[in-house]
Amino acid sequence: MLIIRTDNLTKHYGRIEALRGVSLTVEHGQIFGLLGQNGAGKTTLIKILLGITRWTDGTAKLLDEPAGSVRVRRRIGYLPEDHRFPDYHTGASLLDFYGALLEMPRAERRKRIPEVLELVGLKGRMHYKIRTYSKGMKQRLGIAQAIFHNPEVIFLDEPTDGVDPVGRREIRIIMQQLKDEGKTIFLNSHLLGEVEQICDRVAILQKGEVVREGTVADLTHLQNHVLLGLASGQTFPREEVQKLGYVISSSGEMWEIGLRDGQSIDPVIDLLRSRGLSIRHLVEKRQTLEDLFVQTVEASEPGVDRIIRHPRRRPL
Amino acid sequence: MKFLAILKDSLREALDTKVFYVMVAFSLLIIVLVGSIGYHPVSVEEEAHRFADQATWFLTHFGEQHKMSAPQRWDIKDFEQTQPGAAPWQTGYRFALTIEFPDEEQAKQARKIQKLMRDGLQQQLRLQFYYLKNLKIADVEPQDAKEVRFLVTTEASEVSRMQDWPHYPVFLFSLPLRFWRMPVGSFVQFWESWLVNFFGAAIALLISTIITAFFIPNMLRKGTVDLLLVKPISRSVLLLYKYIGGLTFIFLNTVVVVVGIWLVLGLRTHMWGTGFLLSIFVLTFQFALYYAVSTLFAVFSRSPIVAILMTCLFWFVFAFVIGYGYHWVNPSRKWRDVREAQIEEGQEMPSEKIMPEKPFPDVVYTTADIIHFVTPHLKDLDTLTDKWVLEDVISPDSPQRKAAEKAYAGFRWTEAVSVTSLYIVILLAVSCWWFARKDY
Repeated sequence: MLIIRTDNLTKHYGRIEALRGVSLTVEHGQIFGLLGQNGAGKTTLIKILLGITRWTDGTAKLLDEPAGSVRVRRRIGYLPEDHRFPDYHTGASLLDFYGALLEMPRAERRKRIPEVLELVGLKGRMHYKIRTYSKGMKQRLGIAQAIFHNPEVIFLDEPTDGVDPVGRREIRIIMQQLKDEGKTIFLNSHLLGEVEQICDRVAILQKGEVVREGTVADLTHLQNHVLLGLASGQTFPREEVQKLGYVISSSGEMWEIGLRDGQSIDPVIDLLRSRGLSIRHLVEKRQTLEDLFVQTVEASEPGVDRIIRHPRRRPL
Repeated sequence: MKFLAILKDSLREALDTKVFYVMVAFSLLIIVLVGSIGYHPVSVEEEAHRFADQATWFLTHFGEQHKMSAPQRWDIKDFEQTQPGAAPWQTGYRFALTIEFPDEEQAKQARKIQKLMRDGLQQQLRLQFYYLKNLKIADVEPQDAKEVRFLVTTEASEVSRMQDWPHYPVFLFSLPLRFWRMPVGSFVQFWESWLVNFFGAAIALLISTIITAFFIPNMLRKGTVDLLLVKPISRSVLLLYKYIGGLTFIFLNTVVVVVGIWLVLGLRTHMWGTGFLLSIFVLTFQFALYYAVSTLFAVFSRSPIVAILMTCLFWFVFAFVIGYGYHWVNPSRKWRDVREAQIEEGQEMPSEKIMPEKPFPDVVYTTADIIHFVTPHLKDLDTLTDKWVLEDVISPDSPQRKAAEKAYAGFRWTEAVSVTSLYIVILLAVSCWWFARKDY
């Protein structure tokens, strides 16, 4: 079941082209990570999906409804990147206010407030004014308000920003719990390590375009590269393997063997066994999400906005 | 539920600002000050003695220049009510006004012009005791060779209730202002009109504008507005609820202030007319216009400072320049009409110097009418409150009431309310349109 679907989505801010034909899908129960440099269009995409910003062209659907419609908004939670809660509220009163806007019955709000604040570790400070909260506490409160009304889809824009490592781990656990409950999470984060740990699928947005999309495993998997390690004290027969037509390079204590199209690693294993060598490691090489991200963005200009160039009018 | 949530949020926001407490303190101060003013009925005996004392003092200090005014002492003797024990306005009075000269010769000279003195005195006393009916003064035989004696008699006043009898105010429970004498109704009318048109329409509305000008820009701050826009409420409704939230907050505050003043005035004067209470709606209506202006500029600029400045500019242009300008130009045309009627009736014409026949050319009146018609009738709304208060506390047959009713006859209240309402609707519609189409 598709929760989010955009087709050829385009957004112009005057002459600035923020999104250029973005097409992506997010399925139910997934944690979807959206990556991209600053100015790549990530927040614009989220704001379009939430109805905060209008799109110029294309289509955007959320929960089978046009993105941003009032009916959809009942079913989503959102933590913006630079959120600014009214600091005259306490944590509890803020949730009560947002809950009332979400049409939650009063009894339910009263029940949920301590529950949710306990989940994010703020129950002890729920009656303190928000202006007394640290940045990390405000971030936790942001998560609390995003999940307060038990939404089906949760958009989190940099949810761990300003949170200490312990807090980040707790937030990851919460996201995992939400996923286990069948929620769909749309995550926008610069912390690629976290995204790699928790996301099922990711998309990389560069200059308003989706340049890579897929599961984390697919994207980080390097086709035709194998890492091989021998038992301690044994020497790898590099030249003989090269004679078999393999590309070899050292990778720490292991050897990275490149396979050409149609080549198999089996002849190498046979050779090593025939020499009486013991194979300790044999894995397909993967790259980190960070490697992939850097590799992807380095291939193009920095993620600046593109200016639409109109043909210059000639004077009559 | 959403409306109540936004209303509660606005209240919470207002309570968080120091300006709110300034406004509350200011309002309480006004209520306490109004409550501290007592009204004492004027005593004819005291007034008569004061009249005599003042005459003595005046002649002692300034009378040397006049040959007829040698040092002399004025006094009131044998003062009595014609109906002992009756309320001051229900009885006639009778007393002797004596002028005691230093020697018999001067008294003898004075008695020669006693008739002339009597006519002048009667004129003075009728001015002084304007509230007494049929005041007469007669010569009587002196009881001393050095004195000239007059007998002053009056009938019971036409006043039928205590509130119409002259009173003087006593400020802060102990500071009497005896020279300031008016019927209690006139005092109530003075305070209520002053409080509504000066404190209410100017100071309180300005403070209210400052307090509420922060509501919408704060809501539209980056990072705050996003959290509201993702809630299942349309942008127009969100903005209107926020607007109504601010308006309701000011309405409740106005209720407290006006009812507070009405209560203390009622307790002090026993005048419980409800006209003043209607000013709650007029003040809130006026504020609704100012707040609509503030909302428009808040949505455009997201800056409370811009919203406050533009609202003040709007007030200055529409309420002050146009409002007062029209209220100054308009009566001059009425004067011309009156004058033309007087000419037709052959009545005596007033001096050309004081009241020119045509103070302005017709084009000025036409322009003033057009500008007045197409702009919010803020000053007219002030006058509407005056009218309600006046009808409440001033008796229908008093000259003050009659003159005011004549002045109010030219105002078109329905037009004032309709045009002003139309402005509110247009300002809010533009605000909603802009808010609904803007990307955040």
